[in-house]
Amino acid sequence: MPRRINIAIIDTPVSVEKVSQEISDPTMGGEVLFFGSVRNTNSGKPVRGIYYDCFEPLAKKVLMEISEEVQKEYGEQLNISIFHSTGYLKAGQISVGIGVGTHHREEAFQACRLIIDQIKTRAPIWKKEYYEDGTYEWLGGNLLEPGQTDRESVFRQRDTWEVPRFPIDRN
Amino acid sequence: MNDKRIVSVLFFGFLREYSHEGKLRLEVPQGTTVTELRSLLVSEVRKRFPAFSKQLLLERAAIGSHDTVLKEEDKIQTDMELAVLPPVCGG
Repeated sequence: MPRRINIAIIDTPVSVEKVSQEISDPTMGGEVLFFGSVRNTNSGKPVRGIYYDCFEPLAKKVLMEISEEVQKEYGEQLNISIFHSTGYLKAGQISVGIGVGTHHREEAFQACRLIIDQIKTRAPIWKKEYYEDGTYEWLGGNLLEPGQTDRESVFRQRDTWEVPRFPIDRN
Repeated sequence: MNDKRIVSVLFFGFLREYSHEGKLRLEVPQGTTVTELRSLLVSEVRKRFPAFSKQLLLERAAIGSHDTVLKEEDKIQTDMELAVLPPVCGG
């Protein structure tokens, strides 16, 4: 049976607790949480905050499609929770939160990574960055194209990842 | 029979600044495709904002409905609320 998927577009900063609660499940052995927040500098320029613009109906649809694609890839036992903020956030506040719960850690890490990468390239969300000197700039991004929601595109992107190798200390 | 129809187009990202309250209502001929709609939008924005300097970005922007990013050959329906979607950068 497919597990839980929770999608939320909110007009406040993301709550760590809420993202975590949505995937909480005693049958799960691995839970991975990712949070993205507003950096206080960009290319050396002090940042005051970011205004997030969002086409909400399509964004919800895209986030759900991404979640379902990831469930198909890593197994329907995944619990997935995605929160994304809209409106103005100050530097340091959390704009996006992703939680993945599953039986094993490896698929939880991979699924979480895949979700945030897909959000960045597919979700209809835009950033207007406000600087400490009073200026602002709309940030550039990824061109949207029809058909980006097919699973092929997800796999192509995943295949380009470099898997980090860590030495194993067996002592 | 009236072969024109009114469509409502929302503007997002930097394009918001080239619309009034992030929205534009446009009369388009029946059977207008996404490609044709985008050309009409470019003309309309240039007419309203003669200093508009980012035409290339508007010409490359996707057009979306509530459900999907539309294909170039898709025909515009009257009951659609559409959106111009410049390059995205969520997260």
